[in-house]
Amino acid sequence: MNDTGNPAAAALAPFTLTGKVALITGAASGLGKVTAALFLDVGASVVVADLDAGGAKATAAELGGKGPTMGVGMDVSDEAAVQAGFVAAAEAFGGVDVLVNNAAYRGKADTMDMSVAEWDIMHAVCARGSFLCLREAVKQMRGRGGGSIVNVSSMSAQHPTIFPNMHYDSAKAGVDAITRLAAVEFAKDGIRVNSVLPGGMATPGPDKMRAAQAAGGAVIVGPATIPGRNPMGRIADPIEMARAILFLASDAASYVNGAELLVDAGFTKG
Amino acid sequence: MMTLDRIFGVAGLRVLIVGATPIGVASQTMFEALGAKAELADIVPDEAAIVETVAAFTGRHGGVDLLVYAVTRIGTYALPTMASEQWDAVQDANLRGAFLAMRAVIPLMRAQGGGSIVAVSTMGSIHPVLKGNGAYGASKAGLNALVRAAALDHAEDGIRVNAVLPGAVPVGDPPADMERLGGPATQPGRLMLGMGSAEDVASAIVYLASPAGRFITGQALALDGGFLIG
Repeated sequence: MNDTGNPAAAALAPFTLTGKVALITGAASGLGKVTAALFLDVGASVVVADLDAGGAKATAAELGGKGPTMGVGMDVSDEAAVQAGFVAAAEAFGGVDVLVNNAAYRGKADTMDMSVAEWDIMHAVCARGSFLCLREAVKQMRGRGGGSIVNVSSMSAQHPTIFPNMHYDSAKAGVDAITRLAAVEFAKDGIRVNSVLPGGMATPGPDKMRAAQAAGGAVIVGPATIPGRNPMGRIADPIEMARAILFLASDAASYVNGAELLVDAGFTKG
Repeated sequence: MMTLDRIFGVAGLRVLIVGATPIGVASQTMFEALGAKAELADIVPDEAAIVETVAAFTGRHGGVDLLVYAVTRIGTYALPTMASEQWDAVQDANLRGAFLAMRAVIPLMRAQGGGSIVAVSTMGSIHPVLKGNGAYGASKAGLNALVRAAALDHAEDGIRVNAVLPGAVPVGDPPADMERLGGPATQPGRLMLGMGSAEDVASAIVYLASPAGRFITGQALALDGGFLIG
């Protein structure tokens, strides 16, 4: 990696995570899994955290050939579970340098019929979960001279995309508020906090959403369903989000703090 | 009625509107109907014309309480082939003229203890609306920055400065050289409230100029039928 005889490799070194320990939530599948694989490819040790403990361990085992991994079951909305997961990560790898708050709840519910429980689970996973993981990560990062936290938000935190989606959009907007505030609060600790705001993506989350609609659930409408609305005319491959997460997580983004990076094909500008 | 006057009343206000666009005309009509003294200046907003217009208005009325800068030169041009004259014409009308008008009225407003300025910008200043709107969008985005700067500079003089951002509202005849290139606003379903009217914008200008607007400065108020959140 630090081959001084190769200027290109030296220039690319900040874009890697060589020697870093990353904990990624919701990493058993979808964007989290793709991000875990990418992080391993660029030199990180990766803690695969997921609500599905078996899935986390299976993904960690599947990716183990790329580099050091461990799988932990973690309900990010549960304080004790989050604390236990970070303790396990520290025991395995010494502590966390990078946190990716990727875990999300994707249920859709009609605004007028939504139960309070549905609203609460959305905010518990997306907003409370990001807070709880951030807090444990900061404790470890302070002892390691700093770190980088990337919160996976959504373009819908800034601009309506589909509805009904009120609990999701408001939770993700809350995540961005966490990003802005934490970026200021923990800058003195050498910890950077940023958001990636993905547009539509080909992952199991949207598939589940469409299956729920087909099974008689909430009908999805809104700006993002208008033909031709997306300037690039396609949804994203998860690797396109993972690369944005990597950039913000890496030293290449060493002066980027509190940013909300839209990776949306220009949807919010179209 | 008395209460409404204290909230939205503009009777007796001396209103100079520069730019005989549909919004300028509708604003004059509405202010006159509300008892203000509103004049419409249909001028090319160069330095001499602005100075002469403001002097003549002040001569007739003794001052200016509200300046509405409504001059709007639209024009969509493909960027690689846009002539520098086309670029300049848009900037001169939409931005340079606004600067000249503000420069002419601010000393008068300061001397009389305050006043208010409303610039007619566009939703296209903060979000792409049509392809080929580089010159237009840039000129109006510059106008928004000018509004914020003037609001900061002259808050202490009792002068409030705001912008309205119309969209999907009549803006007058397009110039003959304009190219039609399509864009987001031409997509079906994007204008969720349909087209607006010049009166919809004039109402907002009255609001910003009225007592109800006395704590509002440096703002850009979109009147776009929801385009920006669609």
